[in-house]
Amino acid sequence: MSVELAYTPLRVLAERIRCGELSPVEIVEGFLERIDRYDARLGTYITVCADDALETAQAAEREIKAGSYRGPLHGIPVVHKDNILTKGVLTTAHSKTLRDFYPPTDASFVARLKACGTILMGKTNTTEFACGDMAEYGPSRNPWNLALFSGASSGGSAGALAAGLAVAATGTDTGGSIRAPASMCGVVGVKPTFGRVSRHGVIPLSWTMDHAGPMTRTVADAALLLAGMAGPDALDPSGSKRAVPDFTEGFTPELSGVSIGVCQEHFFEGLEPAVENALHAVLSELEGLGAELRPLSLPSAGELAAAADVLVMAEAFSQHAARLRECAADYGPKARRRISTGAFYTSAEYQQAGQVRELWIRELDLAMRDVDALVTPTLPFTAFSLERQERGAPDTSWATRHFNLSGHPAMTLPCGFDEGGLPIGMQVVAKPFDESTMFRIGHAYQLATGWHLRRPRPFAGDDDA
Amino acid sequence: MMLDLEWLRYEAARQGLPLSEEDLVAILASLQRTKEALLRSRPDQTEGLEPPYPFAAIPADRQ
Repeated sequence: MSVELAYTPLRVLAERIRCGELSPVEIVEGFLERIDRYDARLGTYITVCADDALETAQAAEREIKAGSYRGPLHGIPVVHKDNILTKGVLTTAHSKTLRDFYPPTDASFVARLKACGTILMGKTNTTEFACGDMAEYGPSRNPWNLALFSGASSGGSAGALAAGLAVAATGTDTGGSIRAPASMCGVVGVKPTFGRVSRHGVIPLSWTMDHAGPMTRTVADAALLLAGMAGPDALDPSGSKRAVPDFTEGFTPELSGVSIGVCQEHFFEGLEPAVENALHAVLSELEGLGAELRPLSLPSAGELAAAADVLVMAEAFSQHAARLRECAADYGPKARRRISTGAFYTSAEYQQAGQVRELWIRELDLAMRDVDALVTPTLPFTAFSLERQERGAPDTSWATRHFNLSGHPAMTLPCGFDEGGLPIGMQVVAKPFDESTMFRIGHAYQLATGWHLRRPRPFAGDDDA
Repeated sequence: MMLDLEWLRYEAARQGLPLSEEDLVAILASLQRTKEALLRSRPDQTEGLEPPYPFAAIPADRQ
């Protein structure tokens, strides 16, 4: 597979497949070849479904040739984070406790994507139960620098996209687990509105904070993939019954009439200088595209970490309690200890955390009343070392947990690089169920800038060093 | 509630959790940080379901 094809956006591949110029088999074969060549160094996959993917690609090719084209996801290979159930395909959540787990069903959104004609190409690396170590299957490394971490916990999906080993991926996000790795690897990651995508078949961490969403290299591709994943699901009682719009309908190359809130409190404090410079450049760029920037205040933004932690770990423990009693030693130390903290919070503390969340939602709703979206950095820093991750990672939910608590849609996209050549991410947050505005802003930004087109050198050329 | 290792050992045993001493030390450090931070972020207003008057501030010597 040529490097150009490996980094071709989903939207372009889809058009070439539709008009018969490119075969899904050729695409899958190409990615499998690249995975074989590069992934031993990266560790982005836990399982590669080579034979099944080729078989499905051949079936898609036959179907399309016969005139039964299903839409822009038909014949597109997709990879799912390994805490998402895939029928008959090993699903480990990177845990020894699930080493032989071959689910009897697909997660609902996996089934939806299959119905759109996607091809399951593999399962990507994650931290144990999206909150622990990566001891069982090894770490997923950052394609921009192999000594660095790709991020937690959808880091396998982010790394595979950045290295050109996948064109479309999914992840899950409880405090930023799609957005943080996407930012660290220089790709697009979307946490949709709570309820937009069914969580049925996602191994739960926290039922009030978990979200599933798309990860791609362009905003337009993320909009297409989300449209395939989203929609009502009788199997997920927390899901929304709203119809799914065409998220690309409002795309324009400029942003006139769009108002963007900028909150200096918390989100612009303590940034690494390169991140601060990049974000100031983002704000100028957005203004240049016609958006109106408005300052706004969110005084509680820096006070949410404890409440989020109590909610997530109390809910996680309630899921894991029985298994922890039976086989605590099979959990890695980090997941065992983090999840077990949930056993020691009181019901009053859980309620108090819920109250902090409720008041935060009210504060955010009020602040966003007069703007269409918010823009913040995704992380205050760029990627850090694997050693740092093992020793005790910095707070990667610093700007993201806010929108798991509130349920607002939020997306990261690349907006620059630091002096060490590592990607920087910006976060766009919209009002609930207004992903279209979030995508419109991100798409216009990507049309005007080229950050998303940069590729990590060892995987984008002939340099195999 | 006194949050210390002794209480954690008792509570882990009561809940049937086979956690090691090393686990409990790590859990204690995490709980102390989070519980203290949650106390600090205790809102001075209600979210609307309770009677509509503010909580009294906790005196500094009792925080």
